[in-house]
Amino acid sequence: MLLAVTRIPGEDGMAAVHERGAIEGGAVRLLIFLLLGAVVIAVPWVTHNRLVASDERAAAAWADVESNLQRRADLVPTLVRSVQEYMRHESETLLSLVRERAAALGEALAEARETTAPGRLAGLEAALAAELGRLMRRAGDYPELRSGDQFLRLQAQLEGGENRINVARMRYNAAVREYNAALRGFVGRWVAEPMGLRPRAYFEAEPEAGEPVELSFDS
Amino acid sequence: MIGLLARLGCRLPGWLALLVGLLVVTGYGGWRVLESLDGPEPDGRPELVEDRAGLLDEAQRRHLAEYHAHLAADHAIDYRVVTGRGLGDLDRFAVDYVERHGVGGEDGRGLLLALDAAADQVRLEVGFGLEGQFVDAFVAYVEARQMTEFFAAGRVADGILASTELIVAQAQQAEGERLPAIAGSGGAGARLPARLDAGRVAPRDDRVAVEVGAAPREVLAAYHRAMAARNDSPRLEIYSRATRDMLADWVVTPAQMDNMARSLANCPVARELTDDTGRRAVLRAPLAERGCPPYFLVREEDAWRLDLVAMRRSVRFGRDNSWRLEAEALGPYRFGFAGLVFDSRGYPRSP
Repeated sequence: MLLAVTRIPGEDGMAAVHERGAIEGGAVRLLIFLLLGAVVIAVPWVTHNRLVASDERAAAAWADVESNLQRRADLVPTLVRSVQEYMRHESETLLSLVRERAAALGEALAEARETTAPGRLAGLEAALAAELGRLMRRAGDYPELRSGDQFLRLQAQLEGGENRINVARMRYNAAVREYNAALRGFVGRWVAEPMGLRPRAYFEAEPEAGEPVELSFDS
Repeated sequence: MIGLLARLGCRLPGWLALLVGLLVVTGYGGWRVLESLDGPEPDGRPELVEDRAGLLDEAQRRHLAEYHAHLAADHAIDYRVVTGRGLGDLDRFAVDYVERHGVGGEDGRGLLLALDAAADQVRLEVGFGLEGQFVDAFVAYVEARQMTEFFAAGRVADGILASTELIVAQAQQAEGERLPAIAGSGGAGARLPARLDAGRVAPRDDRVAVEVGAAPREVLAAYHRAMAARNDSPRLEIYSRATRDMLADWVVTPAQMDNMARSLANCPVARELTDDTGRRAVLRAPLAERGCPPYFLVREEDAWRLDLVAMRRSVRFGRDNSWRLEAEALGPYRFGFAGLVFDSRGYPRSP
């Protein structure tokens, strides 16, 4: 690039210009080769870092989903105890159903720590949410319970838990979307393969989510 | 850069130089645009009250903003208010707003009150850093038992302000408890019907048990019972005539009555003072109990009755809930404070 261009004695002006152009062309080619080399190293490197960062973000978002699901599952026994006091004449079936749903979600969460299964957890969560909604609607029919601060407190805890799960779900799915897109990108697919990175599943209820869990009424 | 390369003896073809120049200029411009999108408000100060729905007048908006600025200064809580019409999913809106506007800063010590007038919904979103202090049940209580009671009476600004008072009281209790947290919010808080202009529910009971010829202490005890039962009737026989007239136009919320009941339960009567005519009485708690105000009673129709009008005129509370006196407004109740020393702002000095 920094080669000195010297005039060769005896040559005419045109020849000198031609030679100078040839040397400059060589410098540009060298520059392009260097740039290409840098790109060939930098692109997979940057892609690798981006994939790792995206994967970490998705994992953190998933941990948030799990903790919120656990919080919800833990809340149910207290909730059932509180409303049971007022709903003495209510059929035990609904309360048992809610308890069973919460237990199923709790067990699935324990398993999920070994093998993450967002779809299954989303299904169990949706089923629990549906039963809790039914329970709270039924509880709302009891004026003594509805008018007091206790019902307000229960409702707030329940809806707060549900909202936290929704926010965590939204953030997890956004993180997964970004990660999966990076994974399927032009360079991403070449980098991900040797790293053993696989696409992550979204936190969405599977079609069989509404199926009832097996109930036992001995509690 | 091009000049530098030329000085180094390397000459690029013209089109390549133009391309590099364009890339540099476009990249720099784009970076500046992105920076402006993510950065703080244009004047560097966050807008504490954003009234898109036009529910507040300018004076109310400014008053709320000032009050919330004090909350930020005293308790490091970034409390913002946004009103609008058709804000969509209010839960989602609140989370997005907190994130987009950096409510609560890096420690997540933010509160956002989002009020959708069209959907008649209100949500108080709690940042990660305040979840331990303001649990969902507390937020729902503030909204249901304080804020929306005022909204129902068509007093939006008063509802927000009265709720902030409960928030301040809660923040004072939790002073010093700070857990490490991250920026933003995760959906904590509560959303309830706003009950805008829904009208107030009529008091269900106009009576409170008090014996004929009851002493001032017993009348105060009856007031405590009425507050504990959330009896908001302005026509209780323990109130003076002027008090009944005043309370007829007041919004007395369940949360205020709960607070009053708690205060009365924790404030023993240390001295009962009666004036020379036997027509007025002052009940005082020990001076060390700075949150326990004096109570004024007047004798009407041969019975002791609470004179909340005179109390309202002459007893004030500081931001830390300590009471002080407006000495000029004491009028006939001055006798109740003879021998006490007050500072220039009216706070009693311990002997």
